Amino acid sequence: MPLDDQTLSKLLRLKRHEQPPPGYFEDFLKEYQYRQRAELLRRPAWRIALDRWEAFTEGLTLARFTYGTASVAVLCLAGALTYNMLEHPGSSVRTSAVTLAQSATVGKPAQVMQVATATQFEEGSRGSSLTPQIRIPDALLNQPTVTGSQHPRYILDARPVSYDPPFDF
Amino acid sequence: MTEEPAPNEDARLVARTQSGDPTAFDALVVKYSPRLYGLVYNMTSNHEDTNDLLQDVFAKAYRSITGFRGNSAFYTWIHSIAVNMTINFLKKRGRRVHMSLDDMDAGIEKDKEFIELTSGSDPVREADLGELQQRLNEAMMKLSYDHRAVVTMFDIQGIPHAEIAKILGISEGTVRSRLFYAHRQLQNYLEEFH
Repeated sequence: MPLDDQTLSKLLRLKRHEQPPPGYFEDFLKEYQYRQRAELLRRPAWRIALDRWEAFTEGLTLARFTYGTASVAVLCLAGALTYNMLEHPGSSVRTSAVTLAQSATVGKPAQVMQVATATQFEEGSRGSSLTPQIRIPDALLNQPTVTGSQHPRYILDARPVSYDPPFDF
Repeated sequence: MTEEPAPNEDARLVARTQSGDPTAFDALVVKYSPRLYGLVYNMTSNHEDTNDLLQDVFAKAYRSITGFRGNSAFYTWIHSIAVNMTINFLKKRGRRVHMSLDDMDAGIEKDKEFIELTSGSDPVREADLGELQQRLNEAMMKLSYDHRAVVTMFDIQGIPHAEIAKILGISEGTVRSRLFYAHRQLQNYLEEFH
């Protein structure tokens, strides 16, 4: 017949009375301090540094590590963008203008432009048509850079201003 | 029942240690060495091994204390280090068990439970005290390391289930389950006393 739970618990509790020799705990601290000093002298500096690093990373959970990495990544991205904007202040505006210009020209079925300079009109009047039509290659239309130093731009719009003849002689 | 120490006092000592005052850690060593001795000793049943392990436990705790962020009580943290290091030691030691038992202190003669067990019609009254101690420790050594840790903390040291769960990082249900199976095994090993 086995021991009942109560008797077993009482027996186990008696083990509390198993104690080290008197004075053991008083000497324990001295021995600890002695060992600690000896260990510090014996251990190389890199080993101590490694222990410190292990102790630091021991408490880091995966979630904290993930959040930390994500935060660092966001900060790096923000820093890179800020640096880029400070280094090239007009770049973002120009890029937007280029994008707009390209989007305005894309999708027009026929790149037929009406050019209405006086010279061209005279040349056109000698020909068969009063409103000369010039086909402009797409590559030219897609060139986005327009600066003040260049010649005036005569490409007005893909849509004709008027379908009436400009002059009636 | 083991009295849990005031966490504020421990927190102050830990903070002082972290700020570079080694005497504060000495105070923690003095405070915790008796209870950690009981924990390690009852898991190893060897005084010399317990002494060495306990020194290593405090050395590791001191090295790691900068990383202690106070998410748990120092009491829980240091117990957790002690249990893990003892289980690792026992795994390395394997089956080479050499018992080196401490003597029973004089206080046992006045212990109510001892008097109850050794008087009247109790089955252990005839048993020699030394033999009883030997049999108990042999029975403990037959338990698995995890079961031994739970029995040591609950039955011998009087640590509550919830605290054991925190120390071992398991649920309270698992603690109770391990205790149940450990008690069944111990009852079978010790049934000759009945």
